[in-house]
Amino acid sequence: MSSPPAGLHPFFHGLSEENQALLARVTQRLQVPAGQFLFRQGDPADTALFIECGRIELDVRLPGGGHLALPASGAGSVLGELALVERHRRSATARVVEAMQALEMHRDDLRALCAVRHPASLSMLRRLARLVAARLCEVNAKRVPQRSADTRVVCRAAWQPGAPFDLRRFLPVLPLFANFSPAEIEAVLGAADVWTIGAAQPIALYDDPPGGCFVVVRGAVEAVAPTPHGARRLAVFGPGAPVGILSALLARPRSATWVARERATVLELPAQALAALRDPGQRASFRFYEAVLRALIHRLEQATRALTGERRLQPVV
Amino acid sequence: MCRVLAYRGPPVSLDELLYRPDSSLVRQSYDPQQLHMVNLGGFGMMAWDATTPDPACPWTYRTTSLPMFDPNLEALARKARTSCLLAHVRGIPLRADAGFGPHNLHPFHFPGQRWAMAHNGDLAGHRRVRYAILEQVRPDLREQIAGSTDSELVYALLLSLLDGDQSDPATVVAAAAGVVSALRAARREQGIEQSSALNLFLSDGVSLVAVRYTLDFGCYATDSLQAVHATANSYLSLWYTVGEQYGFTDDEWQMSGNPNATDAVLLASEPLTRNVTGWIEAPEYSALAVDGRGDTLCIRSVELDV
Repeated sequence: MSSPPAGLHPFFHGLSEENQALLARVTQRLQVPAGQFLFRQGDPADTALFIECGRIELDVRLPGGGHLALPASGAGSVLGELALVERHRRSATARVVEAMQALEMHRDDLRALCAVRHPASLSMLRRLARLVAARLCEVNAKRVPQRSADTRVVCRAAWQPGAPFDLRRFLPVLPLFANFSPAEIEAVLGAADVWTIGAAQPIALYDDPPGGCFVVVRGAVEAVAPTPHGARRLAVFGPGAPVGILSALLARPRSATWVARERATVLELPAQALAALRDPGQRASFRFYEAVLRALIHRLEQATRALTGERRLQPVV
Repeated sequence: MCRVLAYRGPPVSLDELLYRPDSSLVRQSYDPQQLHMVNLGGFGMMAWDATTPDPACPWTYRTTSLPMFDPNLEALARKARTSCLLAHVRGIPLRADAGFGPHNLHPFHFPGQRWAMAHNGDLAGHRRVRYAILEQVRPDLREQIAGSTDSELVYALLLSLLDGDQSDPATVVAAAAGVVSALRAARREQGIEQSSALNLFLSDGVSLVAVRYTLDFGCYATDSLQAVHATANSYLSLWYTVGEQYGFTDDEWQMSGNPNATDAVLLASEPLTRNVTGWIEAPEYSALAVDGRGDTLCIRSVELDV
């Protein structure tokens, strides 16, 4: 094993030389001959692999006993990135079919960088968030391949400004803010608008241009995909969930319509506030992207399970 | 908040469902993986076995003893096999007025009724809607309510709303939708707007129905921070796994055999294994109907957008 130049892998392209050098110190080069298993589905996971060369076969054992061969991974791909954020189990079995060389990063090392708020860790978190967001969009596209325009109208005039309860008291116990200090919460809250939105009211529409995002504080918001055959629910999100973050991360039009399922109190983080959270000089930025990444991982896992379920059972609507 | 398990398929030992997996139902009573509370309020199960006299009549076992310390249950589980199981560990607040006692143990099964039911969830403010709901319960069923729980009230209401072929799980799903509508209306009248999970598991020994529904999801009480953890952070879960047979394969308790078969199904509040990759999460606001009346199980997911 040697200290590699991290900039060789496309995931690290564009990082400053200083950040690349630092990431080189916390990654290890791994060389694995053909025929060996990298990991098996269900194994506890704490590392991600940034593949530089070789080919890896991925096999998922489906609930019920079937197997699904995923497209093989090769140079430039990332394997096991979900393990970098929290305790996780491998969701597929990976076997090297052409000798592989990869950079391996351990969750503890990324955590250590985040703990000292090194700018490189914020870049990593944002890149990982974009990677997971893109995978989530792919899964959702498989779930609902055909979408149509949403003819509803977002009526902001009907939204009530503020919250009908002491919102500050509850933010620290919501998942998104669980690891924030009071000052970091205040920094986010100071950049946000607070709204209370009636049940069934749309918050953002499919195909709208990207903008800011929302965080549910109380109540629930559901993501629906408008289709020629009616709206399909993709997911339901309760307190502490970031909403509309995919399009903001990927700079793409909204991939779903967001509707208040119950009367919902939300924080709106406008595009400008999100841009400010990309600044490593802000302490809240690290916490925010860690929390967003964790939320996206849960969402990706849920969406993948939903796709499996939808293919296994015939839904009756 | 409780944990529930339902099984339908080829006969398996109760031990393989209740004890042996690394997150078995008995283990979930004190170490659930997806719930921030323990479930020490008692254990109950109904297990059907086609080889016994009067096969429509299940083995029934309910006890306020903690299942991990219950040698009778352990011995029974090692010996008995079942083709259909409905089992429940009860989670209640750890205080004297929480309704602990044998009269409140699940699954509920009124004499003469086809379907038994267990509930995973908690209806906030249920005492305020209790009388309005009781008015919608058939008098003969009302008389059979022995306990004080929201769950038994829901069971009595659901039985009252059964209309049509009672052997058809679709009839039960329709009645469950009626329960949700009735509760929504009664809560609106009383101004109750608080997250309340209504995950229901029903069986008649042949078929299964599971409902995943949360009323006013995310609307925690704003007078206590504890309520956020209990009811609002994530939608109360319901999982399932389907296959040819359930057993210990490849170092894991899971379904195996023909991947397209639907001969065996497990429905549960949370997976029986810490490795959840063999399980699928049921969608929010939905019901799973497992029709066991044919040669193979017919499993449908039904949206409950009430």
